[in-house]
Amino acid sequence: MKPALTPEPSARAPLLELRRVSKRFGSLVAVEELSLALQPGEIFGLLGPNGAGKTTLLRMSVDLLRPDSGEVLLLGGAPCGEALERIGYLPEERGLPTRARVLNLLTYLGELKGMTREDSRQQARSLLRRMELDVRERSRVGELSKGNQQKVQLASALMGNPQVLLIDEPFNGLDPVNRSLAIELLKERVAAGKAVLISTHQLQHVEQLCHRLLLLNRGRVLLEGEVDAVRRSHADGSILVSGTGDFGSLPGVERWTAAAQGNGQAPIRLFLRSGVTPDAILQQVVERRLSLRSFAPHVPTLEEIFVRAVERARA
Amino acid sequence: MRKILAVARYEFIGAITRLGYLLTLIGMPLFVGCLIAVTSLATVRSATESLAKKRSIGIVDESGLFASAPDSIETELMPDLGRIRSADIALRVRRTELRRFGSLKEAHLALQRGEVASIIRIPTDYLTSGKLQEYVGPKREFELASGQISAGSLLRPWLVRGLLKGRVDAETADRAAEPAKIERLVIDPTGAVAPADLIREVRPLIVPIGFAMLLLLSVFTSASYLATALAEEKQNRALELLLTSLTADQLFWGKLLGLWAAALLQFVFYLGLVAVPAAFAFAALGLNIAQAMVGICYFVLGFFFFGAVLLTVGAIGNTQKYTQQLSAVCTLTGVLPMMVLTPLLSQPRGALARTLTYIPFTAPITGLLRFGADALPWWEFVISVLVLTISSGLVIRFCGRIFRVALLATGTTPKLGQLWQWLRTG
Repeated sequence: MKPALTPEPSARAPLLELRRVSKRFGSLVAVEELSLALQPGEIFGLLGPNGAGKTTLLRMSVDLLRPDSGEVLLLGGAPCGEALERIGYLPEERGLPTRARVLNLLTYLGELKGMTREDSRQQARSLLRRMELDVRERSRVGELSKGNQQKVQLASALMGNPQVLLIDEPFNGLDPVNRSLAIELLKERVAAGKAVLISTHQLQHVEQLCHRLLLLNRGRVLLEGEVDAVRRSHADGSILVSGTGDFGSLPGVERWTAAAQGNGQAPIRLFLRSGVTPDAILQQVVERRLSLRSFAPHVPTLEEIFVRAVERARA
Repeated sequence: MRKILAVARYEFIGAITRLGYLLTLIGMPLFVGCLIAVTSLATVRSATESLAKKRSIGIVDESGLFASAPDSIETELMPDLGRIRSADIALRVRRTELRRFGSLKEAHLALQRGEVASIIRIPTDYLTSGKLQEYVGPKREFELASGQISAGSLLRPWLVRGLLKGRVDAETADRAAEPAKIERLVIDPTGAVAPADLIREVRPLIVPIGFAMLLLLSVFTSASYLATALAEEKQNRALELLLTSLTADQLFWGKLLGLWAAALLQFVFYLGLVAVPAAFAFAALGLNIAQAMVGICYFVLGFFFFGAVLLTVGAIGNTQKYTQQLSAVCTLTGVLPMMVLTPLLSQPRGALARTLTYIPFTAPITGLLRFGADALPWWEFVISVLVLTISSGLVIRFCGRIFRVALLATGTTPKLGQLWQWLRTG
C-alpha cells in the first residue's frame, strides 16, 4: 500500500528542485530543460528507458555533474557542503570496497556524513540489526551474498538519516522478504517527512510506492504527475469483465482480448465501439442475461503506459 | 579537516591490515635476512669445499728448464679485498700441486682419469718461442673464486722464477715474478695521508642508499596498492558514493595522508628493527645526523610526490591492469637514479646529476646520493625540495580537478586530449 503523504507536500518547500536543467555530452542531449520538485514526505518515481537521462539527472542532483544550464537546489540552496551530507545516494552501477568490513564501512560512511564516530557506529549497528545483518557486521563486504551486499548498500544510503534519498534500482537482487523490508524502511523515512526519489525499471514498485512519477525519454519529459492520475488519464475506455457468457458478441463491443468466452475465471477486456458507453454495455449484459461477476473500467498499468509513451515518442 | 582525517584513518587501517602490507613489513626483513644468511653460508661453504679439494696441474717439461722449480704454487685469492678483516686468512691462499710427467701420453692418461685438472706442455723451443700448450678435459671446472680460468696465467710467476733461478738472486727473481704490489694511499683535504679504505669510501653512501631503498620499497608497495585500490573503487562506483559526502580534494588528501602514515609506519618499523645495530654502526662508521635529516626530508617529500602521482594514475585508470601499467612507468622513473648509479657517483656534480636533482621524479634519490657523496650544495638541496613540494601540490590539484570527471568515464582509456579536457572542465 502506498504511504500517506505527510503532510500535504505542496504546503512545504521542496527538498530537491531542478529548474529547467539541461546537460549535454558532446552532441548527445542527456537532459533537456527538465524541471522537478521533490516534496517532503513524498516518494517520486523516475522512469525511462536505458539512456533516457535518469542517471545524469541523479548525478546533477548530488553535484557529481554540473548542468550546462538551469539550476539545482538542494534543501533550498546549492548542492554542496553540508547540504550534501543530508543526501542518501545509491548509484545504479554501485559497488562497495569488497575488503572492507561491514560495520567499519558503514561507520566510515556515517562519519563522512558529518556524524561522530560513536553516533555513526551506533546507527550502523541499528541499521544492520534492522536488516538482519548484525551477525555479519565483522564480515568483509566481498564475503556477503549478492542480496546481503545490496542490503548493505541500501544501509549505506540510509546512514546519517538523510533528508533526501536518491536511489537507483534499490530492489535489485533482493528476495521478496528483503524487498518488503526495504520498502518498509523507505516508507518509514517518508512518514518522518523525508523525500525519496527512486529511479527504477520495476514499474510495479512505482505503482505500489510512488506518489508522483516522471517519465523521461532521450532527456525529455514524456509524462509527469500523480501516479493514479496518470493511469486514469491513459485509460482507453475499455472494460474488464468476468462472468459466464459470450461477452464478445455484445453489440457495443468492437473486439476483446483474453478468453473469447467468459468462463468465470480470468477477466476479459472489452473494447467498445465508438460512442458506446460502459452503461450501455452493462444494459446489454442484463438484456442477454449473461452471468456477471465483475465489471470495471480498465485502468492501464504503468508498464502499458510506459511502453506506449516511449514507442510513440520514438515514432 | 575532520573528513580528511576520517578518510586518512580509514585508508590507514585498510592499508596496514592488508596481507600484502604485513608480508612486506614483516616478511621482507625476514626474507632479506634469511637470503643474506643462506647465500653467505653457501658461499663460504662452497669456497671452503673448493679450497679443500686438491687441485693438481700436470707438467710435461720437454725443455728441461724447470727441473728444479718448486712442485707447488700458492695463490692469494681476491688480493684486492685483502684488507677486509672478516675475510679469513685461511681462505685467502690456495695451494696447487704440480705433478710432473715424463711424456705427454702419460699425462693424457692422468687427465682422462681425473688425476689432474689440466696439463701444461713446455716444448723444447720454449725459450725462443715462449709458447706453451695447455690440455684440458671436455668439462672444465672454472676457478672463478680465484679469478683463474687458465692454468697458464696461474703458472706465470712459477715460470719466471724457474727461468731466473741460478741466473739472478732470489730477491730479484721474486720481484720479476711479482713486480708490483701496489698500496693505495689517500690524501685528504687537510693533507693527511692514510691507506685507501674501501669501507671508508662507501661509508657516506650507506645511509642515503638505505633511505633510497626504503622510499622505493614504500612507493612500490603502499603507493602502488593505493593506485590500484583507487582504480577498483572507481570501477565499482564506490567513489561515486563517497564523493556525495566530501569533495575530491578532501578525498585525495585523506587518502594521501592515510597512505603516508602507513608508509611512515613501515619506515619507523624498519628503522626500529635496525635501530640498535644502526646506532653502533653510526658511531663506528662516523656518520653524521645531517645525513639522516636530509634522508627523512627527501623520504617525506618524495613519498608525498609519488603518492600524489600514483593517486592521479588511479583516478585516470579505468581498469586495475591499466593502472598497474601506468604505475609501473611512474615508479620506474623513480628508480632511474639507481640505474645510472655509476655515472652519478663518479660525477656527482656533473650535468646528469644536477639535472636529475631538479626533476621531481628523480630528485629524492639523486639528492640523497649526491648528499652522501658530499656533492649537494645547500642551495641545490633547497631548490630540489621546493621543486618536490610544488610538484606535489600541483599534482594533487591536477588530480582533484580531473577526478570529478574521470570517475564517471569508465570503460574507455583516456587519451591525452581527453585528460586536457578533464583538466579544463573539472
